[in-house]
Amino acid sequence: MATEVVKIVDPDNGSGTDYTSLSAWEAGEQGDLTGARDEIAVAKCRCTGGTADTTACEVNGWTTSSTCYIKIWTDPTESYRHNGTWQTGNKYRLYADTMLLYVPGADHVIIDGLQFGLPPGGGNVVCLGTINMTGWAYIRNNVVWGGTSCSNAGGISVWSSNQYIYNNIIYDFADNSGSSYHGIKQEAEFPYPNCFYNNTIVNCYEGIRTANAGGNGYDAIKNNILYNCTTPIIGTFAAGSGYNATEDASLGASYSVSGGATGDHTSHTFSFVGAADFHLQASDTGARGLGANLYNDALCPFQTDIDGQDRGGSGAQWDIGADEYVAAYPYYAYAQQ
Amino acid sequence: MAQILVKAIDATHADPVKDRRGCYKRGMPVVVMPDTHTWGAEERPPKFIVLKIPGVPVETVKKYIEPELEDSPGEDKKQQPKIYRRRMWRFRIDHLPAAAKTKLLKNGELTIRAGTYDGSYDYTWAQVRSYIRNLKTNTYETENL
Repeated sequence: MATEVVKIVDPDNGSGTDYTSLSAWEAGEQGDLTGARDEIAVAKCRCTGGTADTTACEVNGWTTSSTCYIKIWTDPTESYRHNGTWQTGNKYRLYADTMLLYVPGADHVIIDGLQFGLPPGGGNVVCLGTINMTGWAYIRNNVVWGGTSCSNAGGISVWSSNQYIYNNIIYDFADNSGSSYHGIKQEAEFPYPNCFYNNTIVNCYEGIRTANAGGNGYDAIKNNILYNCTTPIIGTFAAGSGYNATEDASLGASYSVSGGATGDHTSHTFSFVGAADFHLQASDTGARGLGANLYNDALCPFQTDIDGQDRGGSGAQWDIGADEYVAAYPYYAYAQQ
Repeated sequence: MAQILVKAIDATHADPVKDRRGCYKRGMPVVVMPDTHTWGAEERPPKFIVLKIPGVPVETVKKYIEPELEDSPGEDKKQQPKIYRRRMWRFRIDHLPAAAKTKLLKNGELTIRAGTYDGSYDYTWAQVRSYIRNLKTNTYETENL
């Protein structure tokens, strides 16, 4: 059984730090994780002094397998993970005008709980990309922000299959027209599925686009909020897709699902907590309780939301988007206990 | 005000193309940080060494962490120029004079005098640059900082 080898990445070089940037971690740990190493290479990211990681990280030259893989994350049991919004202070973030995390040379990667942000005026990049992966990637629980005035920029782009992209909040990639201004984009055709589940995508020229239209569509798209996107969804998706929601009258003229979509919602009104806080309010009627339950999804089952909160088990009616609204436990209930 | 983190050991991949494009080799610069930066526990020998160049702006030495790009003008699928080699520049650690190499691998760093810096140093930039190789042109660095 592969051994987890955890290295601490902290730009502030706090106690226990192994590397002061994700790019240095990648250079230091790069290699063949299979065979003699038999290792899961873990970068546990921290931000003990408030400094952003401003170096672009390219994950390249690795040999991985389904059991010997790469995991880049913030540990939710520590205090360095975002709270479902873009946060500075002691929250780990990749922040620079460059492609922040690019995976052209590793086949099995988990990217969990990071923040990606472009500075004002940044662009001509995508924040997070993978390419030519023969294995899989799990890209989940991330906040991806285009900054205040990006140009020609995208949130997440994948040129691979078996990319499981869920519980991400992606916003502000919308300053102009063109397909580079997207939330999530699948760039090439592969006869294997990608999953785009429970993402909240706001203020993007294109919300989600797939080029993977072979046959009747390979990629699955479920439970996504697409708010204030010029074109919410583009492409042909696999049978069973649906339960996406937008405030627009349409999810997109070229959006189609093999056999027809189920449970999609248009012209819905969402009640977010704030202008840049896309958690759902208790009063929301556009997304709460309107999603499909993916607890036992055949391709990408999961149970929690971007905050790590349980979505309610296999029998619950899930919310659409990255956040599952969970009411605070009432005081009187504690008192009764 | 720059420090350059340099890989001190080779990484390898069984596929020669992936090895060239993806793997850092001994002497390849990885990241550039300001003078004030402090390094983590793994950012030292045996994996890395540091070239400290006080007084020289980070932007001036960022060119050493650029990849070597393909000659063809085509772009790869991420709309970025296609990478031929992980880094275009390589610090020829093993070609250094014995005393410099010993000091570098023992202490994990060399302080280099360049520009207007007049503090203590190990070598001058003029001495060190002749060990910094441009892998694309196969020439050693000749420019001042």
